[in-house]
Amino acid sequence: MRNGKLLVLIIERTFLLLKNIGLLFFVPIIVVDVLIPVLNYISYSVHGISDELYYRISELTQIFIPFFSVWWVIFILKEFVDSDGCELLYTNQKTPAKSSIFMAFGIYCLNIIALYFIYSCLFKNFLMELIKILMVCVFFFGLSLFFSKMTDSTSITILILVMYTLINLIDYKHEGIFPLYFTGEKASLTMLFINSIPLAAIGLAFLLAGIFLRKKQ
Amino acid sequence: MLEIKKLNKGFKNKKVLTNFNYQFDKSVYGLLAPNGAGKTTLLRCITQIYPEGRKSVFYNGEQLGKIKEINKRIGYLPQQFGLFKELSVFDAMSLLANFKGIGKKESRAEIIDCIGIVNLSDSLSKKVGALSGGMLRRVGIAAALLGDPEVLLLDEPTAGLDPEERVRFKNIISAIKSNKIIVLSTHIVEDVEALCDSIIIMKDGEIVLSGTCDTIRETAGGKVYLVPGDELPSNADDYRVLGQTTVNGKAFTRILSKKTKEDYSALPTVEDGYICAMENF
Repeated sequence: MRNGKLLVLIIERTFLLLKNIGLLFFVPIIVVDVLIPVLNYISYSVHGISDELYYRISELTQIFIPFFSVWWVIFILKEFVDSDGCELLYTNQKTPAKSSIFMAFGIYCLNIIALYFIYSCLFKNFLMELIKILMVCVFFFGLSLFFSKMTDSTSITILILVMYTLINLIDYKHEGIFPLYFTGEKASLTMLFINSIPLAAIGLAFLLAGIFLRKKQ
Repeated sequence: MLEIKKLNKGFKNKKVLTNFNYQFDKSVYGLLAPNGAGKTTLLRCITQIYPEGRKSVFYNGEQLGKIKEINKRIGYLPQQFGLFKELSVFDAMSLLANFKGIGKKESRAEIIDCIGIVNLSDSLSKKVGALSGGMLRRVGIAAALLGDPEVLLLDEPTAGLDPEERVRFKNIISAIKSNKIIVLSTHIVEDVEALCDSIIIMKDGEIVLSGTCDTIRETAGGKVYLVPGDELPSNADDYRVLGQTTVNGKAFTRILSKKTKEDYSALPTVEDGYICAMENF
């Protein structure tokens, strides 16, 4: 009964925190559910079901999906680190953002899973790509929470994430070189063990550090 | 009763609160001090934003850190309030009620009540970001009232408000003050004099004087004079200028002095007592 009440509180809280993002809430939805599928369809029209289409889908998803996985998270955190009077949200030993940012991240991941399920109908290996991209998203999640708390600035956090994404795009080899994740190669078990899983582990470490880091006063 | 025992708080190499002790009962208290004296730090310790408050602050004899649902018992208005600007006033209040553990259904009636107390019932559907500074402050007070807290801590509640809003604020405090401990932190003496039953004057993290408004006034008793401009004491170190005034077309200077003619003696105000305490006059 008590846990049920707590869950209802968390859902209501998350809903309102996402509503507070305003129109920017729709950006990841438009990117993941409209832009990427439209661009994929254009590639499909040109290349048909082929390796070329596979690589096009893989490139697009690697560019956009990890960065936008933390879009909602960062804008929720903005109220807790950046806004006037945010100390009010830390009274009486509370850390109320935690459950909501996990929920927001989880909702986005479910969206990605649905998208990759469709891709896996075309290319079986996309289940491996899904695991890889989720690991990268976990890394981004950890980075965003850690740097938001560390710098007390979501603007600086976004800048760090943008720079990391750009470095990936500018300097990728055929195999993603750790700690960079972007690669032109198909996802494989080897890649998961050498690159993706260690990246996720570091992401979890950043996440834990971000959770326990006290807001600067 | 809210009790603070041996509270110490510092930042890096600077001590802000040193061995702070005080007891608050159901009344309105004014925390009067200049900027940097530790008023906000004290309130943040009581609200446990700073962890030092967990062991040094007691409510009804129990350590704050050990009381469950303490977030419902203490309401806090920070110095700046501007949260959730994209939400309507109602939704923002729902969210703040949620943080206090009050669900949407339970909080509806309470939100309408609290918003009614601060005279913003017409603004429930307006975006928080569209409100004026004074209205935003009132939303902050309404949010602090959620859960009907027994302790209300208001940090610089009238800073930046125009005279009309300040009068409105005073009316709000008068309406809600029964059966609560209310602590107003401010450097505006006039607000403290109008609202508070007790005044605590702080300097460098310590209490220099506390008591009723009469007690504070009496500190300057026999030391305030209204002196014609040409009769000021010759030694500038012997007096402090409090202000200028004109009586029957003649200019007078209100001063704080230990030795001046009895003829010019004037009744002290709370502000005079405050300056007396701060300057150790």
